[in-house]
Amino acid sequence: MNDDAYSLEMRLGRVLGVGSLVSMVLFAAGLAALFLGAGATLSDALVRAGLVILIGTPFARVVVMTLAYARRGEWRFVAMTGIVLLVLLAGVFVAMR
Amino acid sequence: MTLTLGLALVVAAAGAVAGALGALLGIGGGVFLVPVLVLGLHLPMQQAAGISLTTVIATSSTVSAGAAGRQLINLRLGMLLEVATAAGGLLGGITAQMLSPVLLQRLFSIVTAGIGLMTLARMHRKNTLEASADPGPWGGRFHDADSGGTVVYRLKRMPLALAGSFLAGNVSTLLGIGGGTIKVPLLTSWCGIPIRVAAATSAFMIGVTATSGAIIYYGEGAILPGYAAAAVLGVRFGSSAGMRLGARLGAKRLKLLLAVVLLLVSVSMAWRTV
Repeated sequence: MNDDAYSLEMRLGRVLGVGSLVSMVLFAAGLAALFLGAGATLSDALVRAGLVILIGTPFARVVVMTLAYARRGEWRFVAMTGIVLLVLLAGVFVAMR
Repeated sequence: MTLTLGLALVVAAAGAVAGALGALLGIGGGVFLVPVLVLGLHLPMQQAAGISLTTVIATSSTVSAGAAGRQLINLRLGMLLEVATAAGGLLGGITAQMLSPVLLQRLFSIVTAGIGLMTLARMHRKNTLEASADPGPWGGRFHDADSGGTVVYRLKRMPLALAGSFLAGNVSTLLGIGGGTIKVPLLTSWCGIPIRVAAATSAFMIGVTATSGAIIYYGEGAILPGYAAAAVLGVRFGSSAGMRLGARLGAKRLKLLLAVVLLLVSVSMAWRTV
């Protein structure tokens, strides 16, 4: 594997690692709030924030990939990641109807 | 159903097994979690699929973060196939809201049984070439733990890989299983990709596939937040255990495990609908 591919892979790994860690901390806090009696509203808000970050993490990794391939001028891959981004955005559009 | 502490622990334990399977086989573990939620906890199929999709995303993110830098994730191949899975996934998310739960369960059962049998039939195929071979634009090379040296692999039958990935995306969102259950056996049995690379690349891809469906389920209110939180926390622990174990299991054992999991899941899902 060349250095470029390696550093991109590590960067994507960090994006995914941080996203999943933050969402898990929110989930743990949300469940703790529920079972320790801090209130269903607070619990629900924390868990929902975690869900949004969890679902947003793969989104962020596709954006990072698109930018990385664009910077290197690998337009075939920019087209591929761009299509995936469009499909994800179409999903958001359908979900918000 | 209100979420009690006991129920949350059960869901988290199921999530842990799902996470371990995801780390070992790149299949996200939804294929295991959905039957537990439907058969064990009597959740409707749509809600089980919604919760399962969130765990698939969690599995994908944690496993890929852990596997980054080990030459097992083929980013180029992943992006190529992801175009097909994302499109299939979006379509599945829309159609899932229109089909009956029993039909979805039967589909799930048939799909997993078929793939399990095919994996068994092609288990002894080897996909690694000499280190001097040309990997082509979509292949790659990696350090093979089984042989102890560097090996090369090439992508074969690209149209089949693309068509299978579209189907994987579609079925995965319909059933909440992430699609690795179709992609990993397909890539490793027919398309020349070694099981470890297929698993790591699939684990990397399923997050995006599941996201395209999860967005729709979230919009429909089909993701129960408390259940999803408990399951995802379980995934975190299961996947780190699975990653340690996976390094020690040989490629043939991984394939056998894949086939056994698929057949067990198929039988348990069919049981409910007859």
